[in-house]
Amino acid sequence: MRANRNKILSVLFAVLLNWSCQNIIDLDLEQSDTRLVIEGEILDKNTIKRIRVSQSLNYYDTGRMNPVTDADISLLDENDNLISSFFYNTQDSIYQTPDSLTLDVGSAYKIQIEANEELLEATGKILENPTVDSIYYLSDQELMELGQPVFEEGYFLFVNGKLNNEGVEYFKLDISVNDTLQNSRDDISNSILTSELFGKEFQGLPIPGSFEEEDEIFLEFYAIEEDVYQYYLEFTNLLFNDGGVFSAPPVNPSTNINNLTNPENKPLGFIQFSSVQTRSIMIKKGD
Amino acid sequence: MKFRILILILFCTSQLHAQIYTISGYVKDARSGEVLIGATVVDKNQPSIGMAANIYGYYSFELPKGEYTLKASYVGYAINEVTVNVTEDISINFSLEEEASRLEEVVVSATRSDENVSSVKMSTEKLQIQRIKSIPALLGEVDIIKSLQLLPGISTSGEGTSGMFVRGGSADQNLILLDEATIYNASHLLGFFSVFNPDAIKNVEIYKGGIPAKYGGRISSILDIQMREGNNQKLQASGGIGSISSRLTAEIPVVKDKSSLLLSGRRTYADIFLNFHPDKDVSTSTLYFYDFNTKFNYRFSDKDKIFVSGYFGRDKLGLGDLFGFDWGNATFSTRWNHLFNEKLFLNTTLLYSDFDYGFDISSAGSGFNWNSGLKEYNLKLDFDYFLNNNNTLFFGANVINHVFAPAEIKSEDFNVQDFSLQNDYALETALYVSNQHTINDKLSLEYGVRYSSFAKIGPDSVSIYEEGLRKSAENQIGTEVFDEGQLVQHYGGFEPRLGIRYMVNSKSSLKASYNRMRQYLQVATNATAGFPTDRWIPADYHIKPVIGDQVAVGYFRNLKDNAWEISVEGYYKWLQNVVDFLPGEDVLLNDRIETAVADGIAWSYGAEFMLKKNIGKTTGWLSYTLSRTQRQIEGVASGDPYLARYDKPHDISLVLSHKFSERLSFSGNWIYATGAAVSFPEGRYNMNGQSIPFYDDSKRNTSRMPDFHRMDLGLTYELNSRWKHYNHELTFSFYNVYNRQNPFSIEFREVTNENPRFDPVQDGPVTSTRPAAVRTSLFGIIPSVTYNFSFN
Repeated sequence: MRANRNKILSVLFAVLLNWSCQNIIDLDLEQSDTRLVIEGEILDKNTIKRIRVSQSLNYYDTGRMNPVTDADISLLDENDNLISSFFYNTQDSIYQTPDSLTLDVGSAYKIQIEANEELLEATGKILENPTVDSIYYLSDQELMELGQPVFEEGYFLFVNGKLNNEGVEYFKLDISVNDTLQNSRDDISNSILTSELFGKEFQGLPIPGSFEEEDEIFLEFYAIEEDVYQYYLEFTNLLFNDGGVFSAPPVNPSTNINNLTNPENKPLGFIQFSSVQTRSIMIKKGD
Repeated sequence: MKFRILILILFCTSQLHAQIYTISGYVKDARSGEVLIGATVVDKNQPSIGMAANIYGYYSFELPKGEYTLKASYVGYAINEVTVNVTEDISINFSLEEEASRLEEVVVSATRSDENVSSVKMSTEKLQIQRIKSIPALLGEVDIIKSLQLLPGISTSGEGTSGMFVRGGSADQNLILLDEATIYNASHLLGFFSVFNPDAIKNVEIYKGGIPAKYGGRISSILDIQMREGNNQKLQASGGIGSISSRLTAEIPVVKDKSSLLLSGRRTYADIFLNFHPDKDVSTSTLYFYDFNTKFNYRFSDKDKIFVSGYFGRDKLGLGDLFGFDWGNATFSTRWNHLFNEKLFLNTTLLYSDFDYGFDISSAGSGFNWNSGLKEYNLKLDFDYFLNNNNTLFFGANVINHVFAPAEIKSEDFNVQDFSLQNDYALETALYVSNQHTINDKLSLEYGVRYSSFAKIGPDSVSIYEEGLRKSAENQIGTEVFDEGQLVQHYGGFEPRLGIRYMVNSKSSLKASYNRMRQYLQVATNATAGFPTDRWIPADYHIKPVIGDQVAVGYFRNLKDNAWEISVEGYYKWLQNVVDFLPGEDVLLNDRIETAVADGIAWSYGAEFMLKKNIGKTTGWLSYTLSRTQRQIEGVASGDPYLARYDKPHDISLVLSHKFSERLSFSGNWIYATGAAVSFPEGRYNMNGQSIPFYDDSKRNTSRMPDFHRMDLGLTYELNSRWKHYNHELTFSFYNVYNRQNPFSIEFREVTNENPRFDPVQDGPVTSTRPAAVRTSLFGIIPSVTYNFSFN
């Protein structure tokens, strides 16, 4: 619901700003020392776990972020027992576990990172994914025949299923179309979902976006914790922040990684602990 | 003992030695019957004996037995003199004729010519509606609030926006009154126009400091706008056809000399042009607003008069049938003026204010309606007691019932459950008394006190948190439930007010003032400019009222027979319990707002310089404000002081009008302001496939937007008319004549192919991508034309 607001406001301003003028300007910016950037995804399914540790860039730098290559990273269970250490894969500039690992849904895990002589830690619980009973699509014509509003042509996906956890649940939904991840800021804004206004069951819940005939759509449903949802929410707020009077003062998204050595010096980025389930569907020609 | 001294002061200068009689009555415009607020009635031979009419045009003062020539005057009107033999209390009503427009006598002040120097009031600005109408406007839309932004100490949040920031106060710290009813959101079109139709407005006065005890509820300013009453002599109509809107006003004498009805409407028609736009997103959009003002008055006798007025305005935005968004204000004012005797005047006011907004999201499977609003029911009693020529007492009471309905979401879709935030209820009351006290020809005082009280009442459900820890869901240890009508929390306190004027000589004066204000409602927003979805929150169990104190001193001097006014004012304002959002927090659907905000202190100080010319072919003003505004709130910017976004150390306005001939007049203004205080990034990183800037969260607003400056020009030409009773004119406005690209925003994002608007999907192959600073400028040079007409 809150994420929707960014989109609503951006459309409103698109109407208003239609008369506006945009220019690239030269602006001297004070640049700080580089900061540690961490991005990780710890999933339940049997995969190699990966974490990227890098250094931030000056704002106008066009190169890639420099990787931090000498970090020590460990995956622990909730009782601090070591499950696996990570090694640095120089080819991909990423830290990874040597083997594929399956994590338990309902259990909490911890990632410890020692980098730049500081100890950092993130904890998270693997939450159960919702049950997805079915996914189907309807064309714009079919929706209009059903009396539903349609803003653009194409096919629209809907999902039926139920939620499996108590309280408000949070999700991220990644959509790939014909092997291309939909990853614009609008896509990211649409991909984070909360059940705060939902019941325990959902029927005909729309999946963001419209699709074309013969599109092969791959869906990844992530059940995430509130702190990760909050990170994504603040991340999209920052992506949509235009620095104008209608925007909040820009702030960095709240990370779920704590710096145990120097609590004031939190890294940028986050580690997502989640369960994931995938579905694929193809829009058949002539349907 | 103190009370006795007060009584002694009140009466020591009164004239107890002779037979004293009271002279009282109303001062009106002879042609329309409208009362003339601030008109003066004095003894011609002793001009210091007399009185300025109150906002209902009523005056009262005393004279000893004898023969006098009374002079009623109002700037822009011919003086009316009456010789009377005072042997008893006398009631005299004056009807003043508007002076024929003479080239050398253009007058733009609404008050007596030396009021700037002689009045105890300071930090107060009055703008005549004719002056406001002469200022060149964006798209030709005459805008009261944007005109006020040209005055010293009043600034804007951004180009074209109608939010006001007065002496370092935020936009929600201004009490905006229309016929005494509160306007909670004075903006149309997301803030680019204000809700006041200039054709329906009679008087505009803003108090930036030295606020009289009669007013309360906001800490930075009181904007008091009075609607016109309408002509009670003859039928009159006026209107205009502009670039984006048209206006029509009718003034109907219901009973000649006794009663009139005013009807005034305005509607934009931008939505008609949107239909022709090639972009489907734009062409299927709805985008318009309207205002409707009405006022009825009836004079039963010189002792009793009623006024009933209303304002209804609404904005509608929509994108096809995908979603709709609308918001609007409604106010209803009923006032009864009653004269108990020549000395005691009572105005009883019953007010209703309503602001609401709604979303309508029509999405297959997850559509919903979202409604939010607030209501105010307000009863006021305001007495004016003309004790004697040296003392006028003002006292009264005020009771407001507030109802806040922050959000109610309803859906017919299976997937979306109905949801609502808890309504809030509060009772705000106040008592006040003040005295305008003339000690002698040199020294005058206005002193008073207001006691305000605020009770948050049930039903309510209050979260209780562990003592000493941050208020958050994790630290909640319980919930306290309050039944309907049960007291949840009470706040209250005295608000002393003081104004002093010392006449240095007949042309100059020194003034000083102090006021304390208490504000029990705040807008919970983390943006600078007001937005219709902004949530008003009352003081409650956790959130304390804001308390603001201000001292101001000033020197005022008039030159060349009051044709020129010079003033210098300095002020210092300090606030307690100011709230700001904690980083990353949101209140839109938050039922525990206290977890999202932190309170602290704020302060602002500055100097305001004003040079004004009110009379002659050329009129206008030059103002300069030097100021600073800071806040300090635990949890924001490491708890260190930081600049408010609207901190603008230098602010200059030059406003000029020149009358070339009876028919042709020119107007222009030039404004300059330091760029707003903002946060710029200190670097960037990649995450989720996006390049994203990062900021130093231990600081806020340490950078500056580029400076702002702009010139607007206007030309008004009165056209020939074939009919005696029909007048018409054309007004040409040129907004931003030298096409300055003032930044509305600066966005830090990646640009493709060196084009900020490049869309890789629609615009072709990508040759380059890099992080950049992208400036958005809203308005280049915008010419517009408005046709105005009137029948009388």
